[in-house]
Amino acid sequence: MNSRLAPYLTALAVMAALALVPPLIKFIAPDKWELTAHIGIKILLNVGFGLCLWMMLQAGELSLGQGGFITIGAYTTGILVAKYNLISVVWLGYLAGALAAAVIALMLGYLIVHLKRIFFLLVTWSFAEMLHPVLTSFEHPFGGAMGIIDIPAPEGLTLFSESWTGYYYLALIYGFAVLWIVWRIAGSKVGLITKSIGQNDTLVTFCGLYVRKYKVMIFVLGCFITGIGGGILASYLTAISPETFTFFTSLDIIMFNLIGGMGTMAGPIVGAVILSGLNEYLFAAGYWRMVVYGLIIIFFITLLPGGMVSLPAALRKRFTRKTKKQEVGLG
Amino acid sequence: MFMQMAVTGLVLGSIYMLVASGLTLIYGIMHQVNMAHGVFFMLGAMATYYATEVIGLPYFVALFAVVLVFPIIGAAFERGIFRNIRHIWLAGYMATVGVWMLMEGLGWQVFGTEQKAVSFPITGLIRLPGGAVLPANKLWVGLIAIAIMAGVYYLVGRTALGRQLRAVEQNPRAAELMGINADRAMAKGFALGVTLAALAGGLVSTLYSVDPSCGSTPMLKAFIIIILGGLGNVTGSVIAAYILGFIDSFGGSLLGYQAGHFMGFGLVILILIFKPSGIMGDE
Amino acid sequence: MADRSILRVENVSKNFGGLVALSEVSFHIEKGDFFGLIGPNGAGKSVMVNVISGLYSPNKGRVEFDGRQITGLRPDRIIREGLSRTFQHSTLFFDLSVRENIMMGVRAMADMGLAEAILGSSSARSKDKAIEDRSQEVIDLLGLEQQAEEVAANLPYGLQKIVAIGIAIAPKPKLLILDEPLTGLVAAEVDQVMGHIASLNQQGMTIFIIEHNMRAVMNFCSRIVVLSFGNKIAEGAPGEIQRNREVIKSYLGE
Repeated sequence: MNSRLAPYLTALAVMAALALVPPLIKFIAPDKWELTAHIGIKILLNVGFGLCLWMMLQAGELSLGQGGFITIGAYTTGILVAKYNLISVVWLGYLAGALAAAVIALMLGYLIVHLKRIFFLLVTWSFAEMLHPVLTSFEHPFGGAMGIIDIPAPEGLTLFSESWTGYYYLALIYGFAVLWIVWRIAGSKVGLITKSIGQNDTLVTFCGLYVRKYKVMIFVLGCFITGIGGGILASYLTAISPETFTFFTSLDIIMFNLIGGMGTMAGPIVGAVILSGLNEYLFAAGYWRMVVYGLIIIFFITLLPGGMVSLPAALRKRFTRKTKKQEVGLG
Repeated sequence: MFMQMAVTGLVLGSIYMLVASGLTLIYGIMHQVNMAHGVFFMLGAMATYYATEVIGLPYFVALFAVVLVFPIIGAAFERGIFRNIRHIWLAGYMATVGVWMLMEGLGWQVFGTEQKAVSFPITGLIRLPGGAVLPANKLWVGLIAIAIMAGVYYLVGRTALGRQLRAVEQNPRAAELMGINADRAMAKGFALGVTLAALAGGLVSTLYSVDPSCGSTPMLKAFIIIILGGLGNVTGSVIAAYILGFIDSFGGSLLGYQAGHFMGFGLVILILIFKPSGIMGDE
Repeated sequence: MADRSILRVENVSKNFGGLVALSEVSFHIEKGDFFGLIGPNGAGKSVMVNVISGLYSPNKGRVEFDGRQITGLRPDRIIREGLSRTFQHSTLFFDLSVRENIMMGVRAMADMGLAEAILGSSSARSKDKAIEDRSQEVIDLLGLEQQAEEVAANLPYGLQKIVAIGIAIAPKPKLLILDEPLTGLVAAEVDQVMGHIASLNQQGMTIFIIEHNMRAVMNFCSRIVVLSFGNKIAEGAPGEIQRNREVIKSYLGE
């Protein structure tokens, strides 16, 4: 097999397998499909969000404001498509949402690109926090505390008898499209540049590259993609309010990378699958949810900082060390 | 009306000052943004509630107990979780988020969801020159907060512990060469910082009713303050605390809570963009 | 005369707060020179390089490179004018392979756009090829074929210094500035690194080296400038410098 095609074929195979999930579950356990679709949609969208943040992390930027960009995408779509009916095609609403997120990311990114580490994190977080009072305070155009309701499904999705089946396929396409984009970038020379910026940005400058341009570019692209996801979520939820996406939305996206591991692209994917799945069950657990979250974070930070993808290597290391000890003991 | 708002701003500012100075102290010494700060505020409030309303200790004895107990709790967290990972900034940050989630979640289980209030031993109204009328407890809480802050200045400025903390803050390695155990100094700094948060919680519990999430808002305010004041700069934080106290008092009264919230975070973004060293910084 | 010089530093002063790091320093380097800048610790040598390469802007004076004033330009723009430099510390992308490190230096990296990178268009493929070809050339030139796919952090220190030089020469610079390339190397490594630098110079590249290793500087440099406490105290051929009383005094601290 051509090694250049191998990743594509693998991805296509996984995608095909995931595309077969709906008919399969509907055949085996029809009553379980709605819940499964719901979880699947969340996972697939979150994979996209997690990968966008991973891409930014490569360039050394950690944004705690991604929930804010989801909000911008969702609200733009909702305002244009539902509240004022300015756009009749929902797909164009998604595009508008993505563009709004990208334009705001461009302005913010241009201003904050010189900030590093905790300062970048704090300013993106503050930005996301600022959205809440703005959305709540203005009835027009944001719908105040009630938010926006009756956001329609995109055209063509009505082909499916149950809407969640349609959204499942939409989320599937979204997740894999993001995967493709981020993978293409990571493997390209631009990806090499971003990775280098994360390691030593001064040296990148002295390679004759304008570091800020690349950082802003990656930030804007990540927010553009995240904005599309926000639009899809707006349709899927049909109603959004200032409380829909919170600090915890942004935190979750960081946690995907933390749980899965930030070293490789597999990390945020694994993390998104685990945490989004877990979230569905934790939602019913009330305040125990926070306890579990706290324990998860502390566990990964202190015991498995490389995330789940590093687990096999960590176990192997542990195992070999033990056998070595035994050898010493025997000798 | 103006006088009323001004005094309210001063009292709010004094409380913010306690929470924020602890937060900025921890950042200055450990270079760690402590997202669990609000949890210690909440625990301080809860400890005060159980000591006074359940066990029946006098209020000031309860506050004193907070001063005795929270340094130990703080040092235990520092030793148990934060010490090993503080050199990786993201791990340090996320670990404090983890502690926040864990402790607040446990708080809901242990303390329950009902609102709790602590009664202040001094009651009645105080008439101020200029026509403002203020509940006595509010004024006293503000004064106590200022007294505690004066104590912190004494501790950091004049004592051996303060010298250790300042040495570690400036240069941990050089401090080690001077025979200061940087690890222990950082534990002490962290303990001092969370104790200030807990004391603020104990004070606020007499003004507003508290629940396990009551630390979030003060923590948010404290973040805004320490960025305005410059991360690690205690005096900057004190000034910024009163600025925010007045913004909240005047802005909140005139424009509503949401506007105050917006202005606070807007200030943070402006400061971070244009003067990341804060209002007191020299850049 | 004027078109022979590649770098002209004119009356450059730099202060940090009250501290004078450079005071009215002037010198020029001619095309093809092997130029050395020496001086005791704290003389302002690294500050000079940082001013030339745009990391610091001077309080006074100007720097002209290849007939164009570069003072006030962004560092990455200065590099694209054809001036490369290495660093004393943190000289590499330690988690990248040697090949990737050198690719980062190649000029064509700056031309790669985001959209073409994602789509893999024919323009992107031809740029990719140009980058890969050039990095292979540099790898061959420096004899790094064996280590090309290794992670830079795992290389011995001497090879790391050579990779750093590889990044700097990948864009085919007109002037190569080396900030203490020999620090921390053992004798055999010193010879290896200096050998590479000398052969680059023979191929026509102008070299500007800051070094503490006097033997290497005296053997290889054609012209030397000596700084002490931010002032230029001597300039000339190695033989003249070695006999200069000022220089001897500043080094022995009398």
